[in-house]
Amino acid sequence: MILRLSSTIRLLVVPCLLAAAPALAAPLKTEVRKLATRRGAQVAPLPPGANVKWSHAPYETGDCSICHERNDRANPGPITTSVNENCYSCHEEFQAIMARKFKHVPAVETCTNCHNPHNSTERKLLVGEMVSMCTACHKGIKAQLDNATVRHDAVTTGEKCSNCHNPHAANVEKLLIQLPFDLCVNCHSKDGMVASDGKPMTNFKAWLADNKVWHEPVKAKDCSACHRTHGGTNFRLLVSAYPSTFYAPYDTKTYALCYGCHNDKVVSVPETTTLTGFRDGSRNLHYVHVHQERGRTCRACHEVHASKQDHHIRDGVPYGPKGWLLKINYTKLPTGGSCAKTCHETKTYNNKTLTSSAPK
Amino acid sequence: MPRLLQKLLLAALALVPFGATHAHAEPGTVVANVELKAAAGGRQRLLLPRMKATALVFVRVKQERSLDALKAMATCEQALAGQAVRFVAVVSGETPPAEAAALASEAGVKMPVLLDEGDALYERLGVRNHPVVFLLDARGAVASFEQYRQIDYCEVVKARLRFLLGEIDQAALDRVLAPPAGTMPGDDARDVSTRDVNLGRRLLELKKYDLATRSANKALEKAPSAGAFALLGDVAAARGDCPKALQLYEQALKLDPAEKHALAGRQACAAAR
Repeated sequence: MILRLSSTIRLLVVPCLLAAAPALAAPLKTEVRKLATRRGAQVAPLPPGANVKWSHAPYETGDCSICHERNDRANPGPITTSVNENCYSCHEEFQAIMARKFKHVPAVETCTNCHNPHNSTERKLLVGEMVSMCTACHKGIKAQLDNATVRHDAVTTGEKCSNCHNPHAANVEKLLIQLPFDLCVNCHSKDGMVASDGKPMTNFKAWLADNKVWHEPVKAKDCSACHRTHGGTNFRLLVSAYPSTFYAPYDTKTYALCYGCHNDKVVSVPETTTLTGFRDGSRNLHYVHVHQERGRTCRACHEVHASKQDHHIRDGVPYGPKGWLLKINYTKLPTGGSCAKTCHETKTYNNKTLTSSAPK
Repeated sequence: MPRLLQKLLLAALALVPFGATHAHAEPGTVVANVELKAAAGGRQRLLLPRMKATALVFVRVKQERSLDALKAMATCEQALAGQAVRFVAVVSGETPPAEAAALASEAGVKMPVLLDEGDALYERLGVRNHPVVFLLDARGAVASFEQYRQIDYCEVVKARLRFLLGEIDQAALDRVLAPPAGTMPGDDARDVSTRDVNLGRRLLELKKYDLATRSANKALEKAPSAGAFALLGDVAAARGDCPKALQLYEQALKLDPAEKHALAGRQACAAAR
């Protein structure tokens, strides 16, 4: 099976052999330091002159005995029940919230770990700015945010950490409000979103509706399997290296993201009868494709999120500044498959027998 | 004739499939109970009798996700300890046993790590990625498989195993696979309204009638609330205005015929007549 690039593609690919800078994989899990940061240190009303923006309704009534032993501002005495019991006596919904499977330890401990029950400069009567408060304990996340060259607006805008996490309790690990995909699609489901590099971002709702073969992490609704959602050093917040440009020479290191799950031998051994179905007889066609200096890489043939065709094979390859799509024209056959004329002449492969399909 | 037979034989050999296509094994695929080399030494059967479910955890050494998955499975193993469930970690037959044992030790799993000699099991189940967990039923047939996920991996595997054990039904399994949103406090206006009613009740206890009324009205601004009408009724009654209180109790009972304060207040006002 001899592969020849069409002249069109050759013209396109050769000037574009720009390798993405190899990036290191960030650790999957981050450190959480269980620091006794507050533990009720700031529960008193803010001093006069403080820029109070939010005030708790019971405090606003001016009657300390709603919660305390005495209605005496100078000496109200202790509260009449435990902190959380006191809070829940009005905030009834917390009985159900705190019955969820995953609970935040500081919330279980005492509401005043994070909230000032009187007044605050912050929304939700938080004792401090949310990201600073959360990262006071979540040191690993702080390190990610501090070291990020690619940032995620979701962390710092709107509800900040609470865009995705319920800091009290949740039904999903990591106190996520929903499964990652459902959270991500809340924002990434519109046209016209632009990444920090100025490139348009995918409308995932539309894309996934139109492309029914979903990659396993997408099926599992686990965007965080591939994306470092708090911020990172890789293109598109990816957890490890993946080329940022479509045409780039193949290097196993630049596809560390893929090889986090897939076996890199799938492209590194010339002959196999087990590693892949993309083989002609025992000739590994992944190997054949990437071991040429033409920028034919994982990305050149596979869609990462979803595709219309099996094996996540993309419809076509982008061409030119207007984003024309040159069709790959992959066809699945009972004995393997074929790709029709675009990158090369029509080729058929046979993975069911020892007999090669070549020459075709 | 012999030449024809020879040709047929050669053709047949050429057609022998030697390797599944890319797909994972279909549910129902039965796994043979082979004896495999254990990373810790000796040999072990893949499946054990009397086990109602088996989790085959396919992992790779020197791979962060495999380590992460095994750590998640260690939690699962612990949660299902003593149940008719077997966990087995499976690595490619090419894996050095010491490295496989070290991986298990680092993850803290108790399950045996078996080396799939010749990668026959990999081939049978179409395993190409790591990590992946295959869940087998009591017959050793594939019930489902779960590819790596960073979030809820143990939860999902545990639920699938509990389903196989008959401990949970399909609806409970579905709730784990698609958990309900963990809404934030205050997302529901009715909850916020209830807070105002509760504060109003406390103010009523303190005989702060104006403040209690204000709190009840704030509650009503947020959501129609039987509790708020009942509170207003109780404030009216406390001020000695039972006719007004009765009207408010009726409004509360229209919204919730079981509203306890309204029922009690109506009875008290009727008795006072």
